Amino acid sequence: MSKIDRSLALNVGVVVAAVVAVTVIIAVTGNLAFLVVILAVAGSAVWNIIRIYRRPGEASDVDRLNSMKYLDERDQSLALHAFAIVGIVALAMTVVTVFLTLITDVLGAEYIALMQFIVLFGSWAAANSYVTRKKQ
Amino acid sequence: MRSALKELRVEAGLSQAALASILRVSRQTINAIETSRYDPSLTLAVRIARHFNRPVEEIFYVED
Repeated sequence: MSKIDRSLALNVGVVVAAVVAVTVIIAVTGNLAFLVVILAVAGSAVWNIIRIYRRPGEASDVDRLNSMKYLDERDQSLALHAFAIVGIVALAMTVVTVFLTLITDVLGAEYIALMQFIVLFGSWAAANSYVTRKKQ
Repeated sequence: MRSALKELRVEAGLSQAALASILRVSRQTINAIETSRYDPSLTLAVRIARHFNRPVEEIFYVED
């Protein structure tokens, strides 16, 4: 097995293992809406990872960032910018979450977790798109 | 930072994809360097200079 094949297998394996773990948790708690969102994101991630790993040189900048297949130093620099943006979003969301949880207590823990999942993955994809268009 | 990369690449008869493959970077990185949208690291600049057998400062320069 080549280095690329091992790396691909590791990436897909991590996603599949995460999906299995989350599915078990959701099966126990019985939240089907959560399950649909998780499976949609994971399925999209696996498809993207396999597609990019097959032809990394022909992929666009944003495709490589979304599949975490960094081909060179510029990809790594762009990824760093994108993760910095996600960090800012995470900090801002933490402030909102603390406020909602401690002051008003209007949301349950599972909805906060689902909101964090959607917002952080969404902001990561948006940040990847932004940095490839605006940075470098 | 400006560069003479495009002129050197064309002179050598290489496409962006071919040069990218030689330097083990993406085609988009070569394009970004040629259009001054990306400043390469010192390591990559030296590798480019070695490939074209030129001093780094002959390929990359800052306009005053």
